[in-house]
Amino acid sequence: MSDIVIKIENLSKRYGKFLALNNLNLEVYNGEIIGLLGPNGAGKTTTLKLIARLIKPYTGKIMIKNNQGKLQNIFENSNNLIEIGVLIDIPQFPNTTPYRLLKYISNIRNYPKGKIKNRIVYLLSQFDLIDWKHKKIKTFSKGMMQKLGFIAAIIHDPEIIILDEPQTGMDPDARVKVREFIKSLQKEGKTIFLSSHMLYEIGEICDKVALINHGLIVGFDSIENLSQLLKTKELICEILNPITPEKVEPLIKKMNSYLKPYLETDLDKMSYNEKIIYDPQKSQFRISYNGLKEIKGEILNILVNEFKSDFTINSYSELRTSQLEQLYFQMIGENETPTKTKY
Amino acid sequence: MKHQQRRNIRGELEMKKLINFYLNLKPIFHTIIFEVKLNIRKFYIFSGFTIIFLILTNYLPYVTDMRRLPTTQYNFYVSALSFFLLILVFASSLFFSGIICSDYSKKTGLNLIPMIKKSHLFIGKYITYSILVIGIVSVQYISMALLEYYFYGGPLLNTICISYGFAILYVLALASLISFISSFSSSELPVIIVVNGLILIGFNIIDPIMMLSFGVEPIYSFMYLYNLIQFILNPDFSTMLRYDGWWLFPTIEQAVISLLSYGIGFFILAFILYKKRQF
Repeated sequence: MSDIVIKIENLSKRYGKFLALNNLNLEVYNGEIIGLLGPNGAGKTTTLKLIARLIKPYTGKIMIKNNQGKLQNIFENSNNLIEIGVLIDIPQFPNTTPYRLLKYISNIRNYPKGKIKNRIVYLLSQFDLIDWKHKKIKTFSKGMMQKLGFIAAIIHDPEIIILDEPQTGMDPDARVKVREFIKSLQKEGKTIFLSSHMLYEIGEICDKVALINHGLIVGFDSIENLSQLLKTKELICEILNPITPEKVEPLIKKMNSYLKPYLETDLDKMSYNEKIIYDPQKSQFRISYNGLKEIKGEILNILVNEFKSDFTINSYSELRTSQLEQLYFQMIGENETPTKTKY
Repeated sequence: MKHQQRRNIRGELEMKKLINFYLNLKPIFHTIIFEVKLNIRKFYIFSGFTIIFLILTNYLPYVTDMRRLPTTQYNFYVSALSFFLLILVFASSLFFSGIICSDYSKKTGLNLIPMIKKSHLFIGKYITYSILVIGIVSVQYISMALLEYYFYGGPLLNTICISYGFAILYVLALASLISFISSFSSSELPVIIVVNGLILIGFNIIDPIMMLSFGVEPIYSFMYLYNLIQFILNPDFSTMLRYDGWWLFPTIEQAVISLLSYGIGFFILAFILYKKRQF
């Protein structure tokens, strides 16, 4: 993870008077998985379309590594770049078959002729589409088309993979498969750009997250580093024995009084309006605290010593997804009146 | 020694040029194969339709009543080709209407354009659809020739080859015009309506006005240019009157210049607009 493969400098894009992207700057290193996160109309797909050269920027440039290992402005010269695979939309070729479409893409991207058939069979098998190899795409469900779109993006073994909402319409099994496959691609050294609304998807697989709102990057770093900016963190304490329903409320009151100094007083109104929540199905407490590292230990200390007679803590954790969720609401919320980029 | 080095460098450069040429041709070639498979059914349908139309207009009437058979082979061809314009314009507009706009309206471009240069995709599609429409023209001419042989015996009218050549040129000019309209159209249907309306109705209204009111020979008109494809079949073409109070057909030179201008001009314009168009 040393060399830069994509460098975006002062990138802006206008659609008429609407500023879709505003002075975007990013550096992506080889082998990273970058997640683009933001509400609808934030500029995620515009960013991906610019990298895929589907649209041209208003100002700024995108530089991608070429075959000589140098960064090259893709809008000045698109020849000789390292291979890029793109999934922006599902394949729109109803009257052809997956085999023909994938063979066509492999051929135009100069994938070795002798390996094309095996590659198609391998990828179609991986995503349970092998029996549909010679069936017309118009007979496919949305999830199947999405899987085919994902395969089409990687069929020629690209170095950079751009995926816009790759798991839309997929069943849970397929989502897991795609997620695992993306991780395996990273192990092969591929660089992946991923946009999604699914926080879990981003949280699970991305090394870094770029939070976009109103065309501005409001945060770009690893989830761990960005979570340092969190005003609120969520501690999940799993307990050994479930608590009976009648005991839950008094117990939460007691916990509130003991933990009051450490709990976040100005919690994010959008998602967390209770500081301590008990989940009876998972037998766990979710405690939203003020995010300071040393506080976590003190909270645990109180729970272990003062609540000995009420419950026994089995394990505790801070979920990446949960952090990401809080980050998302905090940073996007703050950015409703646009602020400067945070790095 | 220096000579040898220079020769080697020149050789390497030549080799690189050859490789680049091959790499540029390869995506076009694969696009042609992909598009032929995608559109072959349309070709079969139009070819079938062409044959059925010919049987209905130029076989059954004469088989049932041989007295109705035109006295000359030339007249036989003219009657066979008079309705072919409808098929030709309709087939061309169906094939070429989506050449550019379908990338945007059907979003096929989102899948392909990141993988292939717009120029390669456009040229590949243009060649494919031209081959398929020229294929339909070939079916028409072969069928006409077979029917001519059936009714009149050999030898065949040799002017059929010149007419066929002009029909191909006509297809290419039409293809470029439709591609140009497709380059700024939102979807395929408006292109089909505009092209059919312009050629089959528009020129029929404009041409008489231009000829009678302004005395202008309508060499711009696709309707007028098509007349040459029929008239050139006449063995006495070189001595035929072109003006009889009304312009009948263009000269060969006029037709070649007009059709080439349409073909090349609209092809370049379509390509420029396609390059500029974004998602």
